[in-house]
Formats: sequence, structure tokens, C-alpha cells
Amino acid sequence: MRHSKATEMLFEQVIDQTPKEIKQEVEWSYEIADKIYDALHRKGLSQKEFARLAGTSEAAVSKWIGGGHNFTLATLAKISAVLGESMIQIA
Amino acid sequence: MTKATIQSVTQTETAGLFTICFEGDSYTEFQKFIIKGNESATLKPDLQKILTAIQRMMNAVGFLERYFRPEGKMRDRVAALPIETSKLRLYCLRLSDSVLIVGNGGQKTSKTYNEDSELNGYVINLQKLDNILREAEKKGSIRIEETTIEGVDDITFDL
Repeated sequence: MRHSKATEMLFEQVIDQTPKEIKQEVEWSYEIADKIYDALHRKGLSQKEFARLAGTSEAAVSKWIGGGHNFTLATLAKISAVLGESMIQIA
Repeated sequence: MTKATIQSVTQTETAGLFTICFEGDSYTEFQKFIIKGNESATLKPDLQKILTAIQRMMNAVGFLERYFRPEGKMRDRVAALPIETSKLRLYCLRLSDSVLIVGNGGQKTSKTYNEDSELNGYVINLQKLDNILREAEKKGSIRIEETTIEGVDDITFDL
């Protein structure tokens, strides 16, 4: 298969030029998304049931576990309370 | 009808990223998307988030289904990689957790992509490619193998 070196280099160049705060924001949003998803699986909770317990919609839960979501502290606190485990850890 | 090839962009142990290039074009569709976003002061941060997200997926757990928003029709594999706080959309063909073909995209200014002729065109191209790939997979001439697509070397697709 033909490899587009130009596309690869452009992709890497933009990432290299991406500010640290944007990289951190993306990393955190996906880490938290994965953490929520893993917790749901461990606890055998469906997204529907989790949405009900969290007082929100399934669509909202889908956004939470989809990555890229800009969580508020209030939402993180709610999720942590419902799941019984903290979504964030401050060293 | 236009002709296109599938080209590889980058690969990790976890995943392979590909894009399409139309016959006669100097740039691949993914290049065009990146250039478009990079040249816009308002879209650049959103572009950076999308590309950072793709890199994270490739270095971590792959192109998980829940990371993508289904677009197109129920039966196809066309998806968007959205950024929640933005209207920038990158349209892709998610073939597996480890294989993603990224097309083009842009700013969504209408309620649905098919109300926007530019975005609609990008989705339609991916839908056409998806149909061709599905038929070829059924026949066994194309296979999605781990992080790559076997059987597409030197093939030009009629879209």
C-alpha cells in the first residue's frame, strides 16, 4: 500500500506544535472517559441504569464515555458519588 | 464518478491510520482537512484536539467504537470524530478497533451534515468506499488484518 509520508509528517507536525494545555485537556478527558466506562463494566451497570442513578440522560452518559467531553467539577463529583470511586486524584 | 486510492498515514502496535487520495489530487483527504484547520485561527485548537485524540487512541487502546459518533446510515461504518465544544467534524470509516480510514471534514454549520453540500460530499464518498470494501471483504479479496488492510495495494476505487 502506498504510504503518504507528506500526510504523516503534517499530522506529526501539528501534534508537535500543539500547546501542552490542549494535550493535557485531551488526555484527561479520555482518561476520565475510560475510567467511567471501566467502572460501569466492573459494577455491571448499564449506561441506562447509570444515567438513571446520575439523574441524567443516556445521551449525556454516551458523551461522558466517548472522550473529548469537557467535564465540570460538579459532574465529576456526581459521577464519583454514584460510582463510589473518585474520578480524579490530586497528588 | 471519481477514482481514489487508500494510503497509509501512520501505524503503531495498536492501530493503523489510513486516508484516501483522489486521482489527480496532490493532497490526501486527511491532508486537506489538516491544512484547512491549521490555517484557521478559530478552528486550529479544535484540529489540534482531534489530532491529539487520534494519536492517543493509536498509542493506547485503539479506535474504540464509543470514541466515535455514528454518521451516515445505520448499516455503514461511517463515523465522525467530534469535538464536543466545537462544530469541527472529521469523517472516518471505522473498520475495527485497530483500523481507521480518515477522510475529510469541516465545520458543521447546519443541523445535519446532509444539509451542507461540502460535508455531505465527504460522507457520501466514505459511504461509497465502505460499500466497495464490504463487498470485497465478503469475497475475501480484502481483509482487515490487525492494524492493516490487506488486498488494497495498487487498487483504485471508483467512488
